[in-house]
Amino acid sequence: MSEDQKVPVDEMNAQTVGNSTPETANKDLLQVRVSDSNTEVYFRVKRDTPLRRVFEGFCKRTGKDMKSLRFLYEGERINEDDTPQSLDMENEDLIEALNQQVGGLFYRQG
Amino acid sequence: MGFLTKWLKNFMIPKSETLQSHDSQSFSKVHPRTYAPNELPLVSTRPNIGEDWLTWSNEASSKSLLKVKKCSNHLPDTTNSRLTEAERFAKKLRENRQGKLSLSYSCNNINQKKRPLMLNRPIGAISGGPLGTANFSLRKKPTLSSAVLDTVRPENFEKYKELHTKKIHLLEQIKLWRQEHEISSQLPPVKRIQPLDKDSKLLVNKFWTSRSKNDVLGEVYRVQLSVADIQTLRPRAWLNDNVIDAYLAENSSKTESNTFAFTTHFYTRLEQSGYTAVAKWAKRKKINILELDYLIVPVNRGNMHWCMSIVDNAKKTISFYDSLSSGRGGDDVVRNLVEYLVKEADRLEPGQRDKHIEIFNNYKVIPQADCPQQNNGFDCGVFACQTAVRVSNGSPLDFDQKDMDIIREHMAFNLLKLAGI
Repeated sequence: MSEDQKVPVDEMNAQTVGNSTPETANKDLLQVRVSDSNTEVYFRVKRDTPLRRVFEGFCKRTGKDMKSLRFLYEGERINEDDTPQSLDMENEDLIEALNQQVGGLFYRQG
Repeated sequence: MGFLTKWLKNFMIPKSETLQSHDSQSFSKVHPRTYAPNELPLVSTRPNIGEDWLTWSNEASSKSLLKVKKCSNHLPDTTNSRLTEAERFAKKLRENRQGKLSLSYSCNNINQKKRPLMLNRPIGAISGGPLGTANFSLRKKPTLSSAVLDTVRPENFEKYKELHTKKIHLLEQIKLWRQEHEISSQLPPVKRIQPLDKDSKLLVNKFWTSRSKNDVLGEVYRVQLSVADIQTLRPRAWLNDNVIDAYLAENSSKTESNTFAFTTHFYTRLEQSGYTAVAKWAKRKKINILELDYLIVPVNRGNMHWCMSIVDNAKKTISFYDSLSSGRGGDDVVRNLVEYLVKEADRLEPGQRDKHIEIFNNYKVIPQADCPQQNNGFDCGVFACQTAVRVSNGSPLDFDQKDMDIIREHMAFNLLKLAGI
């Protein structure tokens, strides 16, 4: 529990996502970081919880639209139904929330 | 008033001398002629711009008092453009006359109503002087804008001429240099792509026009494609990362060569945060960059433009393809990629950094590779994808702007099929 005090934990999601007793917490729960370039949010999740819950929490926190974000874990796309277990995630791993990219032309600068 | 009438009398030119006739022969008999200050026309004269003539008429009698042949507008080496003519005229007036003068420019264009179009820039020589403000109204759109007229002045023209000859000289030099170094464009002849058959077209159109944009169609190589993503393939739309990721991933699994395409976010992260940000990406995908034939790295420029960079391990080249060659080129991309490749090779075979640096220093970098060019503001994603597909399949870049709509249909159809529609 001392670790929890060090890092900012999203309490709301810690409750909704990790619905377990403190005894089992160390085994089943892991912390993941979700970060766009500006904000970094920590979530405690069960290993078999779909990461959709994490994305929803992150979008709620940052006020971003989930459809405009791409969640990448080590360069691989994470889909909503993926779980930390299916991705072999470890504690304190980083999920990158990247903005949708579009392009059509490039204005010459200057 | 006495002065005015006196001046008027001076101006009473006998009828034979007035320049009313429109044929140039009779005009040239009288012209050129210098006008003494007291000969100049009077208050409220209007220089009228005709086809070939500038005429000043007495407002009261509407008789033509003075008529000057207009110089050709297309010859900038003359000082006698119609405005300078008028300017000189007005200057003379100002020198010799006191009191108010309203000088206005009008144009004899019968096709237009008499609605004066004000020139925004008053002519300095006339406006605000003791003669009052001059009113230049041009009904006919002048062939020379006021900005151009500034350059018409002889001293400016000399400068312009000098610059122009310099430019031409430089262009010739560049042409010669390109010929010497054989950098002429060697794009293959275009082979037209067959359009989709009717049923497939209908299917594509169904999704292109669908209103339920948020519907998820399916997962293609871990990319969840929605209707909105497919709709970015509509003609004139900007492609998004989902479409490009899915399409390139499909291509690299389908092609015979050993190809891997990174996601579009790869280069963005590499550029932003360096190698550490993407250090695990190739490892996760179990890619050995040294064993690949082609490594495809899509490049997104400022969320505005798609380019493509391709590392060819067989030919030992790192090329950057931009469908708008007027862009800033790919020097930075190529440089970042070399850095990435060295570090990635280091990860695969630790402790041999010098060897890897030597390997990748021997790669030929082509920061502006020849590729088909777009001539609009929305097709670059399609160009980038097609370039990657053609290069990784070893086929020539035989497409151009005219194929884009058909290629968009094909891409949309392929992705729909992959998504299980």
